[in-house]
Amino acid sequence: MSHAFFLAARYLAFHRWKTALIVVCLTLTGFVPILLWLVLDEFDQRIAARAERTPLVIGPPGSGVDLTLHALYFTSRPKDPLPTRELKRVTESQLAQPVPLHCHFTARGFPIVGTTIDYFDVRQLAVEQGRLFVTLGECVVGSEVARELRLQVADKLMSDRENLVDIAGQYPLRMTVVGILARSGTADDRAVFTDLKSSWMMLGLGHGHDDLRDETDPHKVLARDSRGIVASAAVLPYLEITPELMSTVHFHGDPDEFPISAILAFPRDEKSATLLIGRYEAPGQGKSAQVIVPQKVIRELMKLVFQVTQLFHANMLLVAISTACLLGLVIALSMRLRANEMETMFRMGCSRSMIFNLQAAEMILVFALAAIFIGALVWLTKGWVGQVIERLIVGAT
Amino acid sequence: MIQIEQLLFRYPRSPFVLRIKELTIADGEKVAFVGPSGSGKTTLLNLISGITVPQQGHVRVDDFSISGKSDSQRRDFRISHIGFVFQQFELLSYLNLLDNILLPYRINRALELNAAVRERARELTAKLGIADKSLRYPRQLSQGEQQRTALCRAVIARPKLILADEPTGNLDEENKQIALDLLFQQSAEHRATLVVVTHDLGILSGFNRVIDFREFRSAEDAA
Repeated sequence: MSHAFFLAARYLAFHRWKTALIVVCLTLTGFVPILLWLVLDEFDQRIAARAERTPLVIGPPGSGVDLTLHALYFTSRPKDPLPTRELKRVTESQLAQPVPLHCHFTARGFPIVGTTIDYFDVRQLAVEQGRLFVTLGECVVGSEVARELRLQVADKLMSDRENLVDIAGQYPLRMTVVGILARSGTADDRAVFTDLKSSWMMLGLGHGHDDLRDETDPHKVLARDSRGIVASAAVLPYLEITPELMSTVHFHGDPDEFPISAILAFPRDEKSATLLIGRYEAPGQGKSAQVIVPQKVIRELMKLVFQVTQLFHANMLLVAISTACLLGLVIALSMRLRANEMETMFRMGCSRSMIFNLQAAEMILVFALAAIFIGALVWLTKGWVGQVIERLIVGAT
Repeated sequence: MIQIEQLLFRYPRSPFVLRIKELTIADGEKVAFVGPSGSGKTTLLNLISGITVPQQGHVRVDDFSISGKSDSQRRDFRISHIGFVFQQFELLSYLNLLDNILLPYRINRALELNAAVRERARELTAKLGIADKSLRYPRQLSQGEQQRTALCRAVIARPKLILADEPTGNLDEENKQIALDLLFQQSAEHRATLVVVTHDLGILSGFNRVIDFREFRSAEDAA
């Protein structure tokens, strides 16, 4: 058989372009379904892992998928956020540890997540440089944000202004980067975390500005009485909260009504989880909020993805069949082209088995080459698949 | 020894008929068949080698009766006993000159390809003046060089019978003599029977017997 392989190798090397074409066809036919499987497997693992680490999400009524994606990946924000009293309700129930999220703004395209420092505990996020935020106007950035925006600790990061003509509120806030998170391979790498109150400040619910108690300029002070001072729009709020200006920051309105977009709830045990779900799903509770189990939502989502994948697999099967047919045609044509060579072999007395071995050796070599290339491509793309999936999931914001 | 008795061969749907009542070629004999194209010289080589089998009669090479054997048995006999020089050389385009010469060793399990064989191949190429082209492919060789390669391939395994179809057809005078010397030398060294089919009447001097195939066939037909 070694001589058959020698002759086959010589033949394939001599007709290198034809061989390359066949090997490429076989490689792609084999590699594409494997790549798809790798992508789906990686996607499934990553998306499921984050869902598994988030037992319950409480949020405004509406699409459970949207809420899950918002709470887990900071994607599209809910139309009607929850009032903060919902957070109190969960806390007072003592059934779960609630972690609020207010994800409304972006900073240079990256989502700003207003939360508490509990978030870093429940997500097991480590700070690589600096520290967690402590006061208003401070932020901690994910590793990808730091890399892409070339941010260092103590750098400034301005939130994106949503509406340039809205002079009544939603001023951008210049935050100080006090920490950079270690890479986690999750959506947290591409997010900016700040205190809940800081994100409310971006919403215009709180601000700091010049002290008007001694202000006499009529353009700035519209009215003054015993209850307070009415300032005009000429009094500009600070864009940055410095330690000196911290004392001027104040909030307007009822804090219980301040918005949060979702609550991550970590129940004490299974019973607590059931009780909490029951409280939100019980009749007569109204529909001001809903509780979802992200794992279930993601499982449903993945079912849909895998159904679509079945179609792709069917398509790949057809491609594989047509490739096999083409390969058969190539072999048949090759046999015809090599009729003289086979005739020479026959006239020299070459046995049928040897001629069969020659053909078989060529096929084996071609398939072996394709298998090697498939293996190499899988090896090369495995890491890349992880990054792409991370981008797909994380970069979906 | 080659023995042909009461042979009758005809191609399907062709008026061509080859009849040979008796023909014997002794071991080590050097026989040349001459005659015009279409007289059946190549057909005779095919019958002796078992590539084709006669409808009637016997062809026997040494103790091997070609007529009564299966295709597989005839292939085995051919590859282990006969060295061929084909009219069109029939070199494999994807093998270089040296690998073409060594081809019998690669397609015959009974033969072992070792260093001595490789050395012999080099000696043969040197003898025929093509040693410097050992790594070239057939398309890079002239007709004469291809023919000399085919000659080397035919004799490399030291066959007991060498069948050559126009072995000097594409060679100049000098190379013709070199090629013939090689065939005669192989025949002499290994007591191989040499059967050559040729149009070239200028190369016949070294043969033990020269058979004008047209006359031979007329006599046979008359008989």
